[in-house]
Amino acid sequence: MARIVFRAWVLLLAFTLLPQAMAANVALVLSDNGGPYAEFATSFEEFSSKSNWKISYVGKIDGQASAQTRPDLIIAVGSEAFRASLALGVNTPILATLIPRHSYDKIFSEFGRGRPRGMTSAIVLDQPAARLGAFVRQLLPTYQRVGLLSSDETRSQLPALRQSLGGLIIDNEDVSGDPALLGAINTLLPRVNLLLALPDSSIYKRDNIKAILVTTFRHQRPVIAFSKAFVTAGALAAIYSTPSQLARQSTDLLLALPAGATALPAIQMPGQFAISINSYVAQSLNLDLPDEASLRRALQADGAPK
Amino acid sequence: MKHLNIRQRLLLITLLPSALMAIVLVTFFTMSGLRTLESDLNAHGHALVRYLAPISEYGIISGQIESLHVLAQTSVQEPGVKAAIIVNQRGRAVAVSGRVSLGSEHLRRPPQQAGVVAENENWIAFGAPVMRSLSEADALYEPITSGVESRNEVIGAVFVEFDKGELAQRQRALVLRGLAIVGIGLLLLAMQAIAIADSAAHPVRRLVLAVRSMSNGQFDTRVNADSSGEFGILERGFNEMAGHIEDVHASMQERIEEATAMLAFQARHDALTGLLNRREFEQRLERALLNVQAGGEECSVLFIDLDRFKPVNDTCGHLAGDELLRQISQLFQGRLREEDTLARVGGDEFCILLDNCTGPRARQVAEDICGLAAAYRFIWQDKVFAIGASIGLSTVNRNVRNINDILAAGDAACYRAKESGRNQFIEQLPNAQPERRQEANGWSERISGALADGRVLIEAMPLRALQPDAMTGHLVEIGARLSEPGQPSISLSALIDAAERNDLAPTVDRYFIDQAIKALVRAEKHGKELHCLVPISLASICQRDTASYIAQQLALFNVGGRGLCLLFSEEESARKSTQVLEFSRSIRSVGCRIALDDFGGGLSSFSHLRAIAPDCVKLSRSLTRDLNGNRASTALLRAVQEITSDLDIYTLADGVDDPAGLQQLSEIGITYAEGLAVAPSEPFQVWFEGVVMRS
Repeated sequence: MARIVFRAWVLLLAFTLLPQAMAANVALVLSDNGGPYAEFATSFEEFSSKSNWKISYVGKIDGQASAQTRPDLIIAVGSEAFRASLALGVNTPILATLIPRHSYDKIFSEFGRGRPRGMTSAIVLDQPAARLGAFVRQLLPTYQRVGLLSSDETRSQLPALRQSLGGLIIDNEDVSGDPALLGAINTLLPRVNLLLALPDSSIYKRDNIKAILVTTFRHQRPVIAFSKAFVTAGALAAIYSTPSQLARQSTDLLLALPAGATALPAIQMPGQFAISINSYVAQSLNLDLPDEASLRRALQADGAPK
Repeated sequence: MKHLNIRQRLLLITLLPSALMAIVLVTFFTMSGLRTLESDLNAHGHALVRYLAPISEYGIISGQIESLHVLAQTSVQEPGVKAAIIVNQRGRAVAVSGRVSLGSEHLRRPPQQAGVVAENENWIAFGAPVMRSLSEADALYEPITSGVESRNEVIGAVFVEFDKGELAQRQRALVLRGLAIVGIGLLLLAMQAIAIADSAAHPVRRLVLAVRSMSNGQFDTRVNADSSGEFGILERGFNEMAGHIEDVHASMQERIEEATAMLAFQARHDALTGLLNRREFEQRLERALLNVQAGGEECSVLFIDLDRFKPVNDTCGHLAGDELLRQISQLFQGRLREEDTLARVGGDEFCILLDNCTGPRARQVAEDICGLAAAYRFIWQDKVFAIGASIGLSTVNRNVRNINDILAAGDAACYRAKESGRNQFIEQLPNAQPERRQEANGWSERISGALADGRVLIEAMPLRALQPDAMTGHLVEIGARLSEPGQPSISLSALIDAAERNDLAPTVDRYFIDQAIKALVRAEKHGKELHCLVPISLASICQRDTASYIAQQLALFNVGGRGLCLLFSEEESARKSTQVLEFSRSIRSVGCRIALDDFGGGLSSFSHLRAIAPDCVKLSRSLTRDLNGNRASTALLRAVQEITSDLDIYTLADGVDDPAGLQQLSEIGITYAEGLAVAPSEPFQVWFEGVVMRS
């Protein structure tokens, strides 16, 4: 990580001296060289092939940071990349992506204080609340009571969420600290039909997920999650956006910027999404679910924003 | 190993390696079995805690004590598990089942990984940490933790205790099973080894017994040749060898018996004549004596000593002597009955045992033997020998104590017969105990003593001239007789015999010569014509100085040799012809004459006439004995007379006791005669004084 920061810093130090030329030089800063970040970079490069951008990479092994020109835009892929980009402290516009909303806010409040408005924006991972509601309704039409676990990270989202999940009754249990987690779940689950997991790094951790899933299974309550990995671990279904989809959205966003624009648009939520269902879990819980394609169609017909 | 027999060796060879192998194998497998049991227990323990740890995780996390209890109880139901404990992160036991032996210090210190945490001889405890499991999560949602990797968190531990009793029991069972296998295996092995050893050792044992029996001399020992292979070959080979050995032994036994029989025969018989020898004769005599003493018929024993045997040996050698003995023994044997026993008991001595024969019959046999011996002529090359037999006759009667008496009596009688003039028999009873004849080595003193003392009486045997052309004067043959006080006088022939044997013959001869010369001197002094026939022995003839002695004596007394005629045996002259010729020549040179004694007895007589050219021959008695009616004898005598008269040799017939004989001899032409018909023998001195001096 220190290596990435160092390289980006050296690069941007050179760029700051050059006159701004938006949408000409794009620097892609990756949190890591593999996984979703690499997928994002590949897709981004593919989508922007028709443009005349000059894309330079930071954080890739063959990183072509040798571009002598100063970037006009930094695309920070992942929380780490965003933080590193901010830490450079240069006034280059930064578009963060592949980052939960909460992380964005937290990092920005930490490192981006004092940056001019419009110089920082993001395309976050969090799905719009309305889409979540639609997804729950389409997936499990008979399930009314939706349980949520909230912590300091997510507590602030709750009012908006309640508003968006029309027709569904939200039941919430606040969790503060690991030891109380299973107790909170055990308290919550008897009251609800399902558990809706929101991206919350203080609750849904690698070492917790199994215990949470086992507990919900004990209570015969399905879990609707926010990532494919969660579904693989044992959640019933998830709605999420892939790195490729977010790369497309990023490309679109940049292309849509008017020439000579000096500010980035406001934070966006994912437009495209993907659905993943664990049929084994559905079988175990004796649930008869619609297939993924019809769900997608239903969700799009539900008028969820793209 | 050395002291073992083949069976024990075979047993050792087959059993020992197999037994060792079996023990090693079973020990190896038992040990590895024991180790396997232990490692099984270890693996079981490890597996149990490894499985138990993850499934306890949720219970510990969620604090579900009930489910942990269930887990612990389920674990304890596993075979061999004696206790199960689940502790939480703080080391407090949250679920316990069974009898726990593990100390609290182990519980409070959770192990870093699955393994043995404690162990003693009764139990073993395995432990494993309970880790918080990590799920696969989307990295995008991970909290930003600056460089801190999330680690597996230990949230508790599980412990399981196993009872080693069961392990020990199973190990014991394993060892017992191993021992049982070894035992049964060794038993089967031993049975098989014994069977093999017996099958191999039995034929060998049989052979050993057979060999032992063979060496003990049982040559008919055989073994059953029913084995196969090498043993069969050995058995058949043994039987063949035994057969050969038996055959060889049998033939050797036969030869030994033959040789023994031959030795026995040789021990009892005389090798030369095939007659019984002295020992066997004595044994038979002993038996005969016992028989007589037991009341059997009496028997007689003849002791025969051949006369004039020595000259044959001396003249023609021992081969001739041996031949003579063989012939004479056959001659004697021919006269005897089947039951009579003839034995050769010495050089020229024979013995005859006449069974159931005494008195006149025995005397007849003795006489016949004498006659046979006298009539017998031994011819060797061109020489003819006449012998005789002096026989002692003794009778075996009940009064005889032992055979030595008989032998002594027979011996003495034989001696007396020989002394009394040979070729005759004298009877003597065993218990008469006459003086034993004096030993030969006494003769020299006797003779020299007799000569010195004048006990040798010179006798005169006057001769009568039967023909007118005979020499004139008194003719006499000088003889002698040994007269010893208290003993019968010994005849001339016995005296000469003894003198010849003792080399005293020349002394006796000189004595005769001296006496004759003395008489001649006296006769000449008184103008009487005297002719003396003086016998002289071969020994004297062979002495060169005999002739010179005679010449000296004649010269000394100044008397001519004409009256002295030396008489010696025709046989003797044939033996030493060179010396005789030399002697004759010397004697003739001093005027003495030569006469041959016993002429006509041998075939060579006539050749001697020419060679020696005697002046006189004294005819053999065999020629003059049977003049009456025996034409052959007469013809022979005539022939002799004719030849001698042609050669101008006088003839003399002696032993003429019958006056008719004189007439007959005279008619034939014999020159002189002597004998009882002429004049009896009388002392020379008496005759000389009475006849010569008074004529």
